[in-house]
Amino acid sequence: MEAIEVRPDDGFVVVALAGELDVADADWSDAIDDALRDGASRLVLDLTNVTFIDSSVVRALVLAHRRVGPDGWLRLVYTHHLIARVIDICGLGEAFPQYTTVDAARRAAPTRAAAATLRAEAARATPIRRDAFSGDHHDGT
Amino acid sequence: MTARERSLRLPAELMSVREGRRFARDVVVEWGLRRLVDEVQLGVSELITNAVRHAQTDVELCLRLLDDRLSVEVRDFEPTLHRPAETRAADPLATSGRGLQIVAAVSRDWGVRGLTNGKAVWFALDLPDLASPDADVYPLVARGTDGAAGHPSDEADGAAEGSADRSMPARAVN
Repeated sequence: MEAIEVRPDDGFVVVALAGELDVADADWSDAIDDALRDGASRLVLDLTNVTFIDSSVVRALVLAHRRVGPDGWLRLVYTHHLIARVIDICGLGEAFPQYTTVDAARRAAPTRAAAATLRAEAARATPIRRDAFSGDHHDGT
Repeated sequence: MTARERSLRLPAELMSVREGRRFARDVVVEWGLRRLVDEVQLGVSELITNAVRHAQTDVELCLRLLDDRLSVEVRDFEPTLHRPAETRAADPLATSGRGLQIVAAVSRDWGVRGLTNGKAVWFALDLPDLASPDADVYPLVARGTDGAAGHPSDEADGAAEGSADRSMPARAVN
């Protein structure tokens, strides 16, 4: 189950989440919303103990990223390869560079992996072909 | 060769996303395909999320182990195909349309087929032994059954290559 920990810190708020994040429960998104509603504009989401995310989480991250505004920031701490992969598939390595510790996020010191993600994105074509949605309705395995 | 098949029927509830994902994970591990756990979990999570949100009917999850691939299908009982409102994969900060983008990125192929009483959205994965080097992306290696440890610093590069070339046609969506 998810463990949610909100740690008000010096000038920024850390929300630590754990477990598998998806639409099956709203606790994790409530924790993010609560922090933003309380006026946090510099937010560290500590996903170190998160083992699964899907597009519902990505959507929440993008919305939170918008809400902190141009003067704030939202930084993600993660080390799990599945999170890195989802962020990469969604082309969000630039918006959410990888920090591997809360302290690195506070100091805005992305890891090398984030730089690799950015290079990979720059070199890559559009991740899903547009004609995927313009073909016939039915196909078989 | 006899295909192995496992299925699970789930109610139209958000909790079904998690239940279906865990069921699929267990089946894949039972079949000795631990290397495909990430792909299966991501694909199942996205397809069941779509089904319970849009079709709002019961959902049937079906995994089939075939000679050359693992096929995963999520059926619902509403015949209408819901096309995504937008497919702007080029906009990283879009807030919708990502679920099928993820399915497409982790699978060899995917698509939709009509059923007499609903529809099925499916994706297929290469079996690890038959996977081409390009399809054998880093998370599979990192979670390999040989117990090899992951190499986080290699992850980002490998992930990009895994989805770069898809020659199979991907069709319409729900």
